[in-house]
Amino acid sequence: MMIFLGLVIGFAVLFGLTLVPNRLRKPLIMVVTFLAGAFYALEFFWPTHAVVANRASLVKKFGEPTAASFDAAAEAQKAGKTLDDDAKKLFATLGPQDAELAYKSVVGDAPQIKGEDVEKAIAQENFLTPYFKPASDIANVLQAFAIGLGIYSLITVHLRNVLMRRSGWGNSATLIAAIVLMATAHIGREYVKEGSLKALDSLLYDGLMKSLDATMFSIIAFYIVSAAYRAFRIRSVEATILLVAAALVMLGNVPIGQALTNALPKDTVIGNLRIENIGGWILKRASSPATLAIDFGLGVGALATALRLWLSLERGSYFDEEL
Amino acid sequence: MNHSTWPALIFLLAISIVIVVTVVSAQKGKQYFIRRIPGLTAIEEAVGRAVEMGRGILLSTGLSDGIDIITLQALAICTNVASAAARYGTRVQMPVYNSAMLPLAEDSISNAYNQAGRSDAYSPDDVRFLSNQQFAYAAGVAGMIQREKFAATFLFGTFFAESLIMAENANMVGAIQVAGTPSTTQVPFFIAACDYVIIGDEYYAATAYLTRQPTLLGSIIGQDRVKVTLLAVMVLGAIYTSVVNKTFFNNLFADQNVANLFEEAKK
Repeated sequence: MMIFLGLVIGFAVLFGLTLVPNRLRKPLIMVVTFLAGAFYALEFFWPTHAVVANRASLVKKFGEPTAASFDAAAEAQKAGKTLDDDAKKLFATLGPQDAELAYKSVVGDAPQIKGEDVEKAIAQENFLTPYFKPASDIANVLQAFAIGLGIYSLITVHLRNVLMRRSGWGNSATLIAAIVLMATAHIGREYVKEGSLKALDSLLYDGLMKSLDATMFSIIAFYIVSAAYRAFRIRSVEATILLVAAALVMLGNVPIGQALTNALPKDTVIGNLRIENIGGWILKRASSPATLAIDFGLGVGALATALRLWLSLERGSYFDEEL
Repeated sequence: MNHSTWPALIFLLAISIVIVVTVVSAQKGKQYFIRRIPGLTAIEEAVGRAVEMGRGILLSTGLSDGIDIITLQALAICTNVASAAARYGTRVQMPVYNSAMLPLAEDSISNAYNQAGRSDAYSPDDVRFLSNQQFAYAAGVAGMIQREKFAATFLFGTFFAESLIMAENANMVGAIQVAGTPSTTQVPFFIAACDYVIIGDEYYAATAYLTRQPTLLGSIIGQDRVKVTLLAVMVLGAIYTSVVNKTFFNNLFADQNVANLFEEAKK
């Protein structure tokens, strides 16, 4: 019932949005984008306080906490257990009811409750954190509505191919049949747990879909060889460096390669020239820093792009011409 | 859930202000220059080649699950490519992975045709949803490449293992390929298989380079200023960590309360 109600409200909101006059659409998008971005930014930056993690599931398991004040050390003593210093400090950061739930979740058979255990039972949150999941759910619901658009696009394109008997229309017909069959089997299985629909779903998904996925994945091995062959052909200084570095890393990772320099003593300066050490050095000291540097530039680029979109500074790409 | 520390907030605010101020100053008319980027110049070359060969262009915005910054940037680049292709009367096709992206992609590509004055050449079939399954999408794109024999392919966005399937199929049909991805694990595959690869923050510089819009140019300059600042902080951090205090800089931007940070620093 709730799903149906949500669906009706969703369609009503979408219909309402289509009625918004053109001149108001851009301001509306700007306001919604700013508010949504501001929510996530504030949630991330606002100071937090300690609370018990997974409160709802703990309440379900242990019942609603009732303590007006809670002394974890005293409770532990009653149970013949002790708390280490870190655990005491961490319990002190929680309110009495949260401390009670956290205590119940960490107390076990061990004679001492350690700080690291209590740390796992604690989360940091601020006044916006409880709304984080509902906000993400809204994004998921919008995404779910978009699936309908995707299916509509797919069926329109391929149905047209079939109706107009374009070249390869048989493939389009197969695709439409596959969509109908798969949807029937998968949705049907949700309501009829056993029987032919379950068998059909299992055949289509486990027997066919997964196998086709695995086939496509395994094809990559052959593409890697052909791409590597072209890349490693010695045509320039860069290609030569690539070839030498790749050869060293590959040889350093296989026994036959490692055997080449086995004669060099391991724990000496000369041992650094063993092929596995050279390969490891290339990976950890040359490749990783370069990758991190690329990531670093990407992070700054993503921040700038995000700021332009969030503050609606972006013009031309999505809305209208540069002013 | 991750939360910021005060130093991280102050630092991020400072660098955000630098970027926004540069963007606004560019919008107000300040002139900025960005150097030539070979990978991005190749975009024009690839479009030109497709026009000469009289064959189509394939655009892909990658395999992102949601509508994120990376995919929006990919769409912005593809829109510019589509605009150039439309001016010369070359057909572009864009298979979409994420159905939520479909209306955005349709709108952007049809706008690109409209702006080029070729709205009649746009066909709704050219921007189509393929599949939101990784290898089904890759197989679909590979099939399109083999059937249509594209002259140029542009692969921008988030890619995973399927990157090589798409790039190698395009190579088989002799397409000139330009790729750009922030997925650093896929960059080597693209470098091996494609003619030009845009790496790192060149990815975010692409639209600025192609359109020369003041807003985007300002943003690129702002990014560069931020990078210089961050580099200075890194050097300072390395010296401070080596000479004065081992833990302070380590914890400065960590996900923990600032109180813990200074407690740690005192130790």
